[in-house]
Amino acid sequence: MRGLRYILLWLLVAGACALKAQVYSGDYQAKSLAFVLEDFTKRYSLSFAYDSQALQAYQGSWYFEQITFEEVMELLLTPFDLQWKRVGDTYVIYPHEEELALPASASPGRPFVLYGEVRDRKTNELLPFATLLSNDGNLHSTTNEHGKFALHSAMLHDTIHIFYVGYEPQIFVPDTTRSYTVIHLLQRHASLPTITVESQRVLLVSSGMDASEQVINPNKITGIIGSGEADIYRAVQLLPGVNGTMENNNGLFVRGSNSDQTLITFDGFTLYQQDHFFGAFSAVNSTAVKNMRLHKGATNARFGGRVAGVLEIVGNEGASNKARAQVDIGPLALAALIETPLDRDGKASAVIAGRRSFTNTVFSPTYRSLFNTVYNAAINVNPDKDLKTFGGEGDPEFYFQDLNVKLTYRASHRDAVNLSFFASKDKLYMQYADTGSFEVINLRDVNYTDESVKRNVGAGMRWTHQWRDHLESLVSVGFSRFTGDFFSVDTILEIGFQDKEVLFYAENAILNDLDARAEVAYLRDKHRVLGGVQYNGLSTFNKLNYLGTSIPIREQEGGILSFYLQEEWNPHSKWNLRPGLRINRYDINAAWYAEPRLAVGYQLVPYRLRLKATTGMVHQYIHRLREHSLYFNTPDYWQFSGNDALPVLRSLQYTLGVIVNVKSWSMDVEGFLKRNTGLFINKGIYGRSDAERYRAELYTGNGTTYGLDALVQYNRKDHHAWVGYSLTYSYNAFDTETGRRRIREPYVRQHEAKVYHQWQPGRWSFSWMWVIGSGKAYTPFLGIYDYPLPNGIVRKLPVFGDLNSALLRPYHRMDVSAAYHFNFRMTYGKLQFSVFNVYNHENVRDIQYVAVRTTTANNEYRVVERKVNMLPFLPSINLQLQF
Amino acid sequence: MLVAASCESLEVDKLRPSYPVVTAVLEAGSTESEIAFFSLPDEQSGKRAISDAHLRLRDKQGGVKDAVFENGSYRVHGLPIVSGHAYELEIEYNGKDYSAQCEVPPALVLVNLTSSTAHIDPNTMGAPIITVTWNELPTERYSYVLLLEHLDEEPQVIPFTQTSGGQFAALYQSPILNNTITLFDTDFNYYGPHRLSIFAIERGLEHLYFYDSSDLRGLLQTAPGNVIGAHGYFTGVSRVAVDLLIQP
Repeated sequence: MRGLRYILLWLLVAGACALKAQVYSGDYQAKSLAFVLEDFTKRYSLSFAYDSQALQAYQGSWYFEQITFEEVMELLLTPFDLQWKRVGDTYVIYPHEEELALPASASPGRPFVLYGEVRDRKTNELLPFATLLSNDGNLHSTTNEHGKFALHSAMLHDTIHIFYVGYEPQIFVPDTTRSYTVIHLLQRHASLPTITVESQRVLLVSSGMDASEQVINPNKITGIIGSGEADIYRAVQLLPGVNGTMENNNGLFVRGSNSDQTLITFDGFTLYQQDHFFGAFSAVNSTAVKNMRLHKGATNARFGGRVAGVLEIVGNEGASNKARAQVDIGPLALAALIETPLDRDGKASAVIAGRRSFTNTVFSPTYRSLFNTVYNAAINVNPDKDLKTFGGEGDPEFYFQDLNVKLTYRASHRDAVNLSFFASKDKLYMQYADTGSFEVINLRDVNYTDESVKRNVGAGMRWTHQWRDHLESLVSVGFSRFTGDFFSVDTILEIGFQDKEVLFYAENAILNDLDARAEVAYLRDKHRVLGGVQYNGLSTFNKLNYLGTSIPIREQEGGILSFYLQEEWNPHSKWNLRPGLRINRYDINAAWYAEPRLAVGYQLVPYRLRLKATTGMVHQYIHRLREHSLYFNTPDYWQFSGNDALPVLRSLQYTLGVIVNVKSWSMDVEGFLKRNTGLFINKGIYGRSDAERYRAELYTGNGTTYGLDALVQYNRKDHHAWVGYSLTYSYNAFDTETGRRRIREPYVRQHEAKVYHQWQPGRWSFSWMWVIGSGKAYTPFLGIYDYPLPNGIVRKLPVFGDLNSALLRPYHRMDVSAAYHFNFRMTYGKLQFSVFNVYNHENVRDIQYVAVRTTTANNEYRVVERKVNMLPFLPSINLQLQF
Repeated sequence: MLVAASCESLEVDKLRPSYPVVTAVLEAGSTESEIAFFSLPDEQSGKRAISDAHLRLRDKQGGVKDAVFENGSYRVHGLPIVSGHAYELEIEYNGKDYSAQCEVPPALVLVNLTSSTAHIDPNTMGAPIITVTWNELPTERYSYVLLLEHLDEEPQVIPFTQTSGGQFAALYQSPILNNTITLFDTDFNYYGPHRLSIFAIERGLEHLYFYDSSDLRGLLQTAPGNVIGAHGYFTGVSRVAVDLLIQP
């Protein structure tokens, strides 16, 4: 060991001497600084990392001969207030940091806490969920959703490593004479010219130091454009434990749970409209997102109300140093982003991001293919042929749009106020005709008119304040309102009697969600104690009008008052403990629910090997009993639990895992076990179009789900790759009319693997991904039999197999993407071409059944099976411009 | 990888389980009962009889008989079906047990018949001609279905001039709860002897009457059943019949 140290020392000294011995010359007239550094790279085989866009703007003339590297750097950089630092073999160029004149807090005998924040070097934007790790790898901290961190004294004796997805890692030495530190990270930018960044590990996915937690930056995953729009959920679905095969159902299915069991928050309010285009991609504009953190299960006492986990989405705060704009043009939509500081001090900033599809005016090939796929799955027309929705009597009218606005004000480093607003909408108007050409006998012609509108409006306010060095608080209020309106008119012409009948049907559903939270965090020595109170008020409102009969309005209200207390404690340099307790008061059944939580981490080998384990309990009080369906013209339908028909869902969870880091490789393997009570599953496989729809046709029961998630990552130079694998066993038993029976959940796939590779050579970036999963459960049709009733009537009765008793074929698809990054004057651009399902594999989402009458008799029919396919081969091209 | 992707090891149909179906209606007063036991899936509207099963019909108040496979279905000989008795069907097939239970409704008795003979004028616009009343059973458990048969081998059609006849079939397709029925002249289609049968059924069987298999938007639902481990319906009925003569 000692010998190795001498060798390393010798190499360092030798390297330094070699560097010193090198002298440099150059003659540059009216050139940009970026040009000079590029030329240096070629001539002297040096490696630089810098913001090429910014350095293009720095113009000058230089002449020097036989001078040292340090002298060259001073000559080049000083006029522009730039500085340089060597990281590995790379020279990183960055703006000069402003010193913060803050009073020293370190005084003898007083435990010291170093507060700080991590920002983007270019935009000065705060970076949430960055990881700070002590040099020995034993202690860690994480920036919160506002990009702030707190390091206790035990972490201040050594250098600190900072990791952030999509950014160059940074090392800094804590300065204990200052109580507040601002750290700037350099974004790993694909527009860097031919200079190669030699850093070994620029992560795209960061496994949190705590179990079941992963951070992913959707804007760094180049492969998420597949079905025409950048999709943040598609990025999350690349992680193991998150179902990546439910294309047209865009919620997040985590570890064998339904998507309504995953809470998705955006800057403090809950998102309910999770998709555009009836599930084709997520409703959140990726450019409005800064980062995302996924908690798989009950790990953190701050969160509750959903048993599968939480996806925290943090909105883009915007550059606080200069205005910036971005435009994205795709085959379906036009998106724009404007971010700007609102004052000269950089204390206030604003972001406005909007997206509007032009699908109601321009029918691009991508849109046509996507629409036909989605809508053919949703209508009752010739089961043997797909409907050609374009070029007929009337083209469909469909559009989607969303808007994100975020305002941030930081009066000082102790205060931050965010106001965030989100609105999204999908609207479809469509007419089509079924002239009975597929029936043996054309009994009737039907003209269908369908109109559906789906909206979600959300707003949130968050205020964080640091009262003293050890005490900080958060107050947040968020409100979300989801509405779904469906209206259909069927005009039926009975051919034999020339009798015309008009059926109409309308349904409206509203869900309101108010979330208010106040919490305090106290940090002292090796303890960080967090306590808070949260109130989540919910109300649902449903109205149905069928054939002119208005069904009584169904309205429900309920609330959950929660108290939580959690401590993060480092009892030893290798140990991290996070015990917590969350207590909920649910006012629907006036009951209290306690949810103990515990997370443990142990650093077995510094930097290399970390063990982690969690246990916790969580309850869920509101459930989506039915998903929106174009086929049945029904919106999402949410209902409170806590009654005889639908008990409160309780989940007791355990995880055990290990994180291994070896050079450019990292591996995160985690086993999990969930014991759930109060599960439900819809009894029927088919909907109803009358008042009976509101009757809870459910089976309830209990279940156990266990399995493991494994993520192996490789990050080196320009290559980022990972393989994710999930193994899930789910045994859910429900009380049926014939006793307790095991019924498969349709969203559980026993095996699922994902492979992702991203390569960024110079101005290009290429990516491909491959997903494969076991077959999805569905209910098979077995046949029809005759039942002779006592009064002579013979009834034809269909027989379907047990609920979800059959499996579809395995799912798999591959997506590829290529992007070219370019600079034109002060504009950065990216032209991206992507193909979804490149080998056009037919993935079946579900099987639908349609009754087709074979004679004029009411009871003579056959049942036709109809495969509802997922997306086929789908190319798309996108252009992004940043100003 | 592409090669692996193209491998389709699992076919949809191979994963479909096979389910047996039972249909049986026990009629009070009978000593022979027919029980159909077959498997699905098969061709549309088809069924495959299972011949190697062991079926046993048990009267819970005493008496049990094995069924024998004859002419495509199982028959139980010599076990009387008695009103008010509960019966259990036990099936052993392919290592699995299936079972179903039913209770034969109480006996039906004719209480009042206004006339057993009626004259129908072909020029009628529709008028009541016969009222039949039978004993009332608890409506929470039982309802009634009606069957009107003409018994003449060569029936003579009533030449209605103002309206159409034979409306009985359309009016009484579904069960009723009243223990009385008034027959109109337009209910009949033929002159000659007729038989009106009134069946008492368990109300669970009503689901089969109200089952609509061909909703406009394809809202198919699996048929209701009461057989444990299999599909189908096992039920019992009691019956009373009255003969009517329709004359010009």
